[in-house]
Amino acid sequence: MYKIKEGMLSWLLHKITGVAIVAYLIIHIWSMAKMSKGPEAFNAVIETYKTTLFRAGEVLLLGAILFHGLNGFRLILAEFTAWASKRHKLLIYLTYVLAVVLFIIGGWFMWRAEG
Amino acid sequence: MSSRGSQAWLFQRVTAVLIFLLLGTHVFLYHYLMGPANWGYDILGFGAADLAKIKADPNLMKYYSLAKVFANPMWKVFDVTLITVGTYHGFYGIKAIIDDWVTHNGWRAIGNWVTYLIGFIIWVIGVVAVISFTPKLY
Repeated sequence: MYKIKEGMLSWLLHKITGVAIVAYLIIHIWSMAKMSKGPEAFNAVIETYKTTLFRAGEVLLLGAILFHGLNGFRLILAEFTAWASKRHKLLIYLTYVLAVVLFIIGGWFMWRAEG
Repeated sequence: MSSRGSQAWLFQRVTAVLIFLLLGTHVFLYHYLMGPANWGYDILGFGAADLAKIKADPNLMKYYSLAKVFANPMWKVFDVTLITVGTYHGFYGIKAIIDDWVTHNGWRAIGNWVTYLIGFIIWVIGVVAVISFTPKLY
């Protein structure tokens, strides 16, 4: 029971970040299709990317992708290797620590970068 | 577990690994190598007068530096692969959430088909945009 409890939050976060990434994927493919029409269309879309709201969203997206990717990697390890399935709890915590550290570093670079 | 279910399960893992590799390349190429620091680093074959106009406008420089990559058939194949693998993995994930949470058979079937339909439409929009892309000359 203890093991199941440990994995519950990871399981839920994996679904939430997955849905968020799909929502972004829809916006991304849609706007790329618009941008590819020519320089004027490209510039119009680029202007919306420079808004604070969109840039904050991009930083949050990085967090979602980092967690989803690292947790997915952990899941594959746990499913395919005995080594990882024996270290279930440790790897869950390691996933959180890595995701937070990379989010802080990456998010800082993204936020201070221009455009 | 049915063999169809375990096949889908395995496919979600295979596409996950592919996305890790392809998305890493995609972000590095489009958002770092082609980023603000390297705007206009590889511009299409323009004359001196047009080139001066483009270099005066940072947005145009970005458009043409991306356009050169985007028009290359090798990167078109890359982008179509990434769109295909990405939409499959993403929308199959949504379908799996619907399967877990929607207990009513009818609503689950409707939810699954709506998910497939939106996924297919997004895939078509992406693939058509990539394949038909030709840079507009300034």
